[in-house]
Amino acid sequence: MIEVNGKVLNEHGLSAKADARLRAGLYDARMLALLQRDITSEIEEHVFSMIQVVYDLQRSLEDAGARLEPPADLSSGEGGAGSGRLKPFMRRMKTRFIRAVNEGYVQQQEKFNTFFTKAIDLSYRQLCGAMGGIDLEEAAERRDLWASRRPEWEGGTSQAVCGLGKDRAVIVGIPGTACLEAMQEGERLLLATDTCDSAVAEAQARFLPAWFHPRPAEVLAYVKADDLGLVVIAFPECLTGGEMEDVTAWAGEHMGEGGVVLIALNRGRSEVLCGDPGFVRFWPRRFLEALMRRHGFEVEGWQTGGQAFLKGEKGV
Amino acid sequence: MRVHQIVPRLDAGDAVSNQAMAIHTLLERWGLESRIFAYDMDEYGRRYASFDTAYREFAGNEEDLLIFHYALYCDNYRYYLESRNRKVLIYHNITPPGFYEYFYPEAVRLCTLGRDLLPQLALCDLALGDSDFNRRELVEAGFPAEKTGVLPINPPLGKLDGVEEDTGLARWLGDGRTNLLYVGRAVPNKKLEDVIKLFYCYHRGVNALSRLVFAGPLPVNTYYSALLSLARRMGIEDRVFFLGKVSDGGLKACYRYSHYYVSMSEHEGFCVPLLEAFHFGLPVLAYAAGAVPETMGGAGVLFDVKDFALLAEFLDRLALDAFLRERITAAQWERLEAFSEDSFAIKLQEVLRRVLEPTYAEEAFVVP
Repeated sequence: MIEVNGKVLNEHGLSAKADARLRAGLYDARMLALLQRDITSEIEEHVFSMIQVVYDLQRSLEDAGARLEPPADLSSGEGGAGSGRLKPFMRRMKTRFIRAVNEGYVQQQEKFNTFFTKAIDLSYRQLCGAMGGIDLEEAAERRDLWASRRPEWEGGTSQAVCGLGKDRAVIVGIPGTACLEAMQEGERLLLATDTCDSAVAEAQARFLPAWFHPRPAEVLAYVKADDLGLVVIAFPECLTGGEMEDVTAWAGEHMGEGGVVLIALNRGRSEVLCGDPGFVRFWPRRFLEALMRRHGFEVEGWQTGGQAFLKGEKGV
Repeated sequence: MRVHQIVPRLDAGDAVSNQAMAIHTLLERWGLESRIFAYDMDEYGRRYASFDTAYREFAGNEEDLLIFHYALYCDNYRYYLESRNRKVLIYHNITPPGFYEYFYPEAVRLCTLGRDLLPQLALCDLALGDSDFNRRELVEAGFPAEKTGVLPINPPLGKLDGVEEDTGLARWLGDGRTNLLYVGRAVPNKKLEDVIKLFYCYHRGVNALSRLVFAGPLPVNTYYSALLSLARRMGIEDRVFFLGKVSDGGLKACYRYSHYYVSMSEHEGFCVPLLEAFHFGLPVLAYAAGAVPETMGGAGVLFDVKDFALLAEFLDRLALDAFLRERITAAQWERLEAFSEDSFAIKLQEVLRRVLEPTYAEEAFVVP
């Protein structure tokens, strides 16, 4: 029941619209299941059981009489004879006495509890990171990526990039629609993908094959790339280390001899990447070189216009 | 006569601290000697409060009045128990520990201790809840009903008006997208996962040009990461933003540039952000639980079933129906009168009259 300003709303129209959207398939079955799911299922099982173990331990300690805190009313349950003002006076006396005895113990216990909880939390974070689960820092970085702008390549740079490799090209991180259009004119553009919805929307408005995904590397798994000859990572900052690895591995698998991987080196282009430098991950050149070599590319530096790149060419 | 208040913490922007400060300001205006004692405090609190150990020297005076704010388990309840002052307890509610069970064992322990302690605080002259919901909990805990009452929170709504809004945040929020807002701590009883689910339906089914903004501290890491995980699984992680604790300027920007305020909380003792949203003219959609219906007082939109798809449609209707929106915001604005400073002053006077002898009540106060 929905009440608007205290009056019950007739929900028939709204229900009908909601049902129509459901029938139209806007909410798929997996998402409908997610809507019903309890948030606790988002905590991985092993972490949950660890928390539960600590909680059970604490509870059983308390059940066994090992109080982590003194009872609220320190004199409760004991004699308490007397009337009028004598009773509260006796209660205060008892409380003060027990408190004096307990004070040192309680302080130690409180400190222990605080550090114990922090340690558990830290272990939880490390465990999540190690198991490839939720990495809190990575999540925070991802949230902040919206604040970074994509580089806009000049016409000359776009043309020079178009001249590399052969056959079809995939672009990760859209460096402006001019580059995509140049690729499209040369009938080379297979797909452009980005984590930035506005860049993708701009490209789609020009009928260019661009696709938005918060994790672009996952899109590539669905791309049929038999005649792939060029992979351009124009904005490597939108990928995590793992995703960089996945994209390069995918390029290595799908490209034959002479195939080219081009990674833009955006470090220091503060006028392009606005905001706090912490918002984006500048991948070190050595890391990128090692990554490309690992997947069978011969690496060299390459520059066109004002833009520096790492160019990897697939050997035999 | 002296009036002492004991609070767990005195911090800027905290609801309990705000109420203690509102009482303190009025008492001083009425010419009474007023002091605040806190277990701990931030920079703001240091200007007004002393550490609670300093209360000891006043504890023996039977003529003084002690107002004890009980919002969480804190060691300074001992001063309340031992005090010989006349005593008023203000209960701000303690979250049932079950909400924290899967996320934060320490909070479970503290909430359990806090709730277990409540019946033992019953020896007082008057026990107040900041809502009738809280007052009923006091009665359930064994406080005599005739010695209970309600003293609503007096939110300092005007404070945000004088603040300069955060321009960066304002520019970002004012980019033409529809913003759904939630303000408050990200803790399990607030059910932020349900806000995300509602947003998913709205974003996916109704309005793709939308975003969800959470403004408030993120004290429980496990819960926060579970929320991130849920948003990621739903594919809306880049549309859901956790801003953390924001400045007053940031908060003002959030309220001014958001379009709807959504609360799915399943346990609230009062809920000040609802009134702040009322003040900034945001239509409020809230789940009817705890003290929420009472705080909203028949204004805004209340629902008792979390049918996310249906609520998403309702948000759509709100966007299309300007008249409906106007009626809601007008009613919300009217509701705010019940929480004005004048009505708070009158209620505080009633409270003091109930506690003090008539002679004090006649002589000490001048009705503003």
